[in-house]
Amino acid sequence: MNISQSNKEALKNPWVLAIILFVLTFVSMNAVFIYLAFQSPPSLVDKNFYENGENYEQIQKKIKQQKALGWSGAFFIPTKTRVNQTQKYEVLLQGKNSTSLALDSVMIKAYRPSDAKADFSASMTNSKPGMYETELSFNLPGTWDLVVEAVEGGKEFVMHKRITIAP
Amino acid sequence: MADKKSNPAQVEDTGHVWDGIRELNNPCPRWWLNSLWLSGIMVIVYFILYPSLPLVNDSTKGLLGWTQIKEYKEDLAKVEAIRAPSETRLAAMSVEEILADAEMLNYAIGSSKVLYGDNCAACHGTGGAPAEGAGYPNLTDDDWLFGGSLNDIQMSIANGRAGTMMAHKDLLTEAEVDQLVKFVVDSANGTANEAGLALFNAKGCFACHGADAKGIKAMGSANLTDKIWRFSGDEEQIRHTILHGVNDASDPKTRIAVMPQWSEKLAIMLQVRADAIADDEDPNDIDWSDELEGDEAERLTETDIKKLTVYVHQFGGGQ
Repeated sequence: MNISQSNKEALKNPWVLAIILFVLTFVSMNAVFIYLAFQSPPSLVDKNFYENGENYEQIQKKIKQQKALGWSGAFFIPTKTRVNQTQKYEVLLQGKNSTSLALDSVMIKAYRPSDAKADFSASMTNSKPGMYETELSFNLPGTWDLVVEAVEGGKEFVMHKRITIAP
Repeated sequence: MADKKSNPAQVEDTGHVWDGIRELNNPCPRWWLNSLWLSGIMVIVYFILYPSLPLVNDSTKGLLGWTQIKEYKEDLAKVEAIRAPSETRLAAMSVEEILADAEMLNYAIGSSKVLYGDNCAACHGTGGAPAEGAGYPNLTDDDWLFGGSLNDIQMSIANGRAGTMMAHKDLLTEAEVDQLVKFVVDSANGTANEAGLALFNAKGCFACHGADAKGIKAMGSANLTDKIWRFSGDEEQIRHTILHGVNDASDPKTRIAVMPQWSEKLAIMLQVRADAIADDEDPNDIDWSDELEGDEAERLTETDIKKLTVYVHQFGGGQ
């Protein structure tokens, strides 16, 4: 047998061809998944996630500032929700010692951990002292992350809740 | 055989020789080859039976039709089947009966922990005591604004609560506010004087807090004679409450005191039952189709609220 790098006989061997096919399939599948990860990044709730990751120190500082505010809040939301069912979602937001806040805006953002394209947001309106509400409908069953962002001047308060939408 | 393998001179080669080094043609051990083939077969069987190959928008389903969510639901159904006898029994019991039945009380408290954690702990704290300065009612003390009986607690959870106190910033002079702050602090210490009480009455505070300043349950007004503070016992904080009130929509600095309604349906049922009893009627004769429209909001079921009622009741030695 001629042992040489220039010997192309091996390329006629079905085992070698199968191995090459396997490697090509493996590499192309990886390429597809990498493409999908960029197109629809799961669990990445911020489009600028990389920059925000780099700003870790700033984020920690922000969390400390939020704690120092002494604000608190709670979600008052339906405990059973089906897909495409419009229901009222309410939140309570209050300052230290239950004082009311003069909030500039209250936004609720719904993040679909497995499909960023399904994410949406809505502004909440003040219904009575401390209470903000809006109506939401979820178009996909399963897990959703709710994030409420309340802003007053330069101060910001954020709270989260994970919910499950029934099919 | 072992000797032959260890002696290169006795082993066949593949004919490949590199710099005098021969490639021997020793077969792989049989056990190893068998394992390899078995692994391959297992992979193929797995691919056929279970969801395996990703497609563009979905994946292959597998012959067994197995999914994680289906397995989760099956496990959940098993747990619910085990709980079903207790849940059925609990649904037929009143909160008083649950409290009197040691076995059901134990079950109700045990299964309330998750319910409480999911729905109540955000405000009232994991053990019933909220974070200091958060301004939510403490469930571990013995002070119940809207009553601490089982029925009162059940109604508070079902219907929600929102105490009210009007803002007095435009109704009182600074000196009057100072005097009332002193009266509130002194009342808690048992040292209130007649002048303070006179102003308390003259300004109509008694209408909500009662002539004895101990609060009125029906209004959810605070007892000013104990040292348990709904918001804070600090003088500045008391002044803030007097000036800006509680849940007074006309004052942007008002205090917030809101407990959500967890079951409109149960709230109506409890009220109708209470009214029937007050009118000497048999609650079992109530025609619920006349009382309920069927579209009442329900964040928690009646049984869940019963469980939470006894759970909260045992926090602070409910009345």
